[in-house]
Amino acid sequence: MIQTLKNRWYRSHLSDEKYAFLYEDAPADEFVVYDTETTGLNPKKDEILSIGAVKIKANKIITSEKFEIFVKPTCEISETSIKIHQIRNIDLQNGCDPLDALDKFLHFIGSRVLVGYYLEFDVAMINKYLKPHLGIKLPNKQIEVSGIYHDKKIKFIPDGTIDLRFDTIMNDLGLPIFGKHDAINDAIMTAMMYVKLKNTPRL
Amino acid sequence: MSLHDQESFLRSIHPFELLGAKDLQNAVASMNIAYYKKDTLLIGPQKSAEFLYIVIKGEVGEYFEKDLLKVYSKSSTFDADALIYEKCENTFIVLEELICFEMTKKDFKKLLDASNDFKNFYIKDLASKIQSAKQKEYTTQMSGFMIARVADTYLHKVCIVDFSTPIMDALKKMEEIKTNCILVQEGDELGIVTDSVLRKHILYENYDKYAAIGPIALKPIISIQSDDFLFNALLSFTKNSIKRIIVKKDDEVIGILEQLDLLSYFANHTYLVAVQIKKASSIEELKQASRDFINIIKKLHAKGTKVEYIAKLISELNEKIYEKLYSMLVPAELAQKACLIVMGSEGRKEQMLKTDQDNALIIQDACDVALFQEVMEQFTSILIDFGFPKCDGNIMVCNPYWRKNTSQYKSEIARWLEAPSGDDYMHLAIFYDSICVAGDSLLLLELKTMIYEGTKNRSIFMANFAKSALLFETPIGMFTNLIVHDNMVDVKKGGIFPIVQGIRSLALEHNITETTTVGRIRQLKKMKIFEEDFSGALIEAFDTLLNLRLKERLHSLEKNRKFQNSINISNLNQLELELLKDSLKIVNKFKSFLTHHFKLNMVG
Repeated sequence: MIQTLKNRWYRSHLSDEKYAFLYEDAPADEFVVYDTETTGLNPKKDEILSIGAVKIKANKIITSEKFEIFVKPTCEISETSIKIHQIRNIDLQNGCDPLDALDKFLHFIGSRVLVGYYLEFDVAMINKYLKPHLGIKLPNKQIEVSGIYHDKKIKFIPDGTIDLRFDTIMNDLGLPIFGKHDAINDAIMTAMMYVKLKNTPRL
Repeated sequence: MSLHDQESFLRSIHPFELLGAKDLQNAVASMNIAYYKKDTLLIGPQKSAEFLYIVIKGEVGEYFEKDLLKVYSKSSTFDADALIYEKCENTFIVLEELICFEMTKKDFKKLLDASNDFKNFYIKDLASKIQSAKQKEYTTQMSGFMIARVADTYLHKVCIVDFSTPIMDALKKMEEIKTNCILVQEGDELGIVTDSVLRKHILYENYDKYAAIGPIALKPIISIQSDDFLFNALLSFTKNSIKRIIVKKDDEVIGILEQLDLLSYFANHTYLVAVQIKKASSIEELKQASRDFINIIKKLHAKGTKVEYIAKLISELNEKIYEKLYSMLVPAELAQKACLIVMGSEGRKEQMLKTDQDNALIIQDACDVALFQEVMEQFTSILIDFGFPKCDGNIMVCNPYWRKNTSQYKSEIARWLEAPSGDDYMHLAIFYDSICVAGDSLLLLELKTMIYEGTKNRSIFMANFAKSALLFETPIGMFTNLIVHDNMVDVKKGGIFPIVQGIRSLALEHNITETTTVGRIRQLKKMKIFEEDFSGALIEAFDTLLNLRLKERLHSLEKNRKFQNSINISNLNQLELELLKDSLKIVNKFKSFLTHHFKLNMVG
C-alpha cells in the first residue's frame, strides 16, 4: 500500500514521459535478475562499472536475451576495487556513458519484478543515476533471494544464524557455480537461485 | 555463466567440440537455461520435442513404456532423434530436478547443417555408428592389397595375331595358348577380340568366320603398366566397365589381367601361404612356412590390414599347420584311427595372434592308446618350437588326460555332466568348442552327440554352466560411464567372456554344432531365440570388443609387451569410446537375457 502510494508520488515526478512504461502493469510471471559491479560499496560516492541482467519467464532463464553493459566511470578505478571485480580501466575504454547505459537498462527491465542478491544495493546504485536524471527511483517490485532463502531456512533452525554468503547459498541449493563472478554471471546464478527457491517448498 | 563459460562448457561435450568456433558461438548465444522439477515430462509421444536439452545439473530418465532405458546426467544431451525425426516413442522424465540448457530445434538443425561430423554423430544409430567406424577400417584393410602391383597377380598369356589373320585361325591360336581373348596387331595399334565381340559379329551379324579378324577388333584397347597398383586396375575396370585389361611393360604387352583374377586375388591372399604349408616336405620346411606366415601377418599389420582379417588368417593357417604336422608325424596306418582336435578359442576361430595351444587327441577304442604317446609328445614339442606357446593348463596332446580313447572320454564326459567339480565346467566348455583338424572327424562327432544328449532337459546343470557368464561385472556404470582402473578396461572379463560363455550355453542348450560365437548367434537368431535386432547388436558388440582388444594386442606386440585383456582407454578415440560404451550396454542387456532365460537368480 505504502509502496503504491510512493510510486504514485514518484510517478508524478517523472520528468520524461518517454519512461512511462516503467509504471505499466508488469507482465505475469516475468522477472529480471540483475547485478552491478561498482567502484566500491558506497552508493553515494561510488560508480557503476557494469550491469548484467537476465530475464526469467516462468521457470526459464532467458540467457539468449541477456543484458550486459560496461560503463565508463568518471574517475579512475582504484586498485583495490580492480582487485575485486577485475575490471581494469582499460577494459572500460569502450564503455558507454552512464546515462546511455541507464536508458538501455530501463528498457530491458521495463516494469518487470526485479530479483537480486542484496538487491537493495544494486537498486541504490541505479537510483543514484536515475533520481537526478528522471526525478524518480526504480518503481519495480523487488524480490531479495537471500531473504527468501533466509525465511525458508529459519523455519527449520529457528534460533540459528544463517549463512547468507552467495557461494554458501549456491552450494546449499546444490547449484553449479559457473565461471568467474562478474555482473552477468552473478545475475544468471542469482536467477538459478531464485528459480530453485521458487520451486522448493522447504529447504 | 558468461558467454565464454557457456561456450567452454558446451565444447567439453562430445560432439560439440567438432563444431567451428563461429557456429558454436551462435549456438551458445541462442540457448536458454531452464529449470524443471522432478517428474516433469519433457518429451514424449504426445509431447513433441522443441529443444535439444543439455544437462547442467540433475538427471533425466528415458523410458519406453515402463522400462527405464537410459539416464542422462551432467553433460549429456537429449534427444537428437526426437528433433531430427520429429517424433519420439520414448518418454523423457525428470528424475532429479533439472537445470539445463535448451537449444531450439531450429538452432540445433542449423548446427547439423554446419558440420558433417557433428551431424554424423547424431544421425547414426549404433549399428551405423559401428558401420562408419568399420568403413574406416575397411579402407585401411584394403590398403594392404592395394599396394600390391599388377605384376604380382596372375596374368593370362597373350595371343597376338595379325590384322589379316582369318578368324578361325586366330581362335585356334588362342586355344593353343590357353587364353581367352585375341589381340589384333594393325601397324603400331592393337585391337581386341573377345567372346562377346565374336558373338556379336559372327552369330548376330553373320560375319564370315574365315574372313580377316582385323575389322571386328575393338579399338583402342585399355592398358595398364605392370608396375602400376592393382588399385588402379580395379578403378579402370569399373570406370571403363571392361572385364580385362592389357598389361604392358613399357611398350611391350606382357599379359592380360582379368577382372575375375583380380577379385580372386583380393579374396585369396592367404592362398600362397597355404600352398607353402601344403608343399612342405620336412618339419624344417614346415617350420619355415610357419615362420613366414608370422612375418606375413606382421607385414599385413604394418600395412594396416584389418585385425579381424588377420585373426581369421591365423586360425586358418594354424589349422593347416596342425593338419600337415599330424600327417608328417603320425604313421599312415594310425592317422585315421584318431582325431586331432583344437579347442576353446582355436575351435571358435577367435584365435588372437599367438595364443596358447589347446589341443587334444581322440583315439578309436580298437586302437592302443600307447601307440600315440611318443608321437604326440613330439607333436607338442615341435609346435612349441614353431612358436605356439605352451598351454598353462597343460591342455595339450602330450598330456595323457587329453589323449584318450573314445570310451575313456565318454566316462569323463559323463562325469563332467553328472558330478562336475573344479575345472570340469571349463573342460566341457572348451571341448564343446572344439573342431577336428586332422584324422577321423566322426570320433569327435560321436562325443559331441553324447554331450547334446547328456545336457537335454538338464536345466539346473545348464544354469550352472551358464552362470559363469555373470561372474564379472560389466565395467559400465548406471549412467553409461565406463568403470576404469588406471585408464584400463578389461574387455575380456567385461564383455568378451560373458558373450562367449552365454552364447555357448545357449548354443549347447539348442544342440548347435557351429563353433564360432558369431555363427552360433546367427543360428540362435534363426531358431528365434533372439530378436533379429538384438542378434545384430550382439554381433556388432562382440566384434567391437574383439577388435579393440586385438588392436591393443598388436600395439603390445610392437612394443614387445606381454599380451593382456585390458585396453587402455586413453588410446581410444571418441568414436571408439562410444562404441565401447554401447557394446558394454549390449553386454548388460544380454546378461539380463541370460538371467531370465536360464533363471540364473534361482541358482546360487
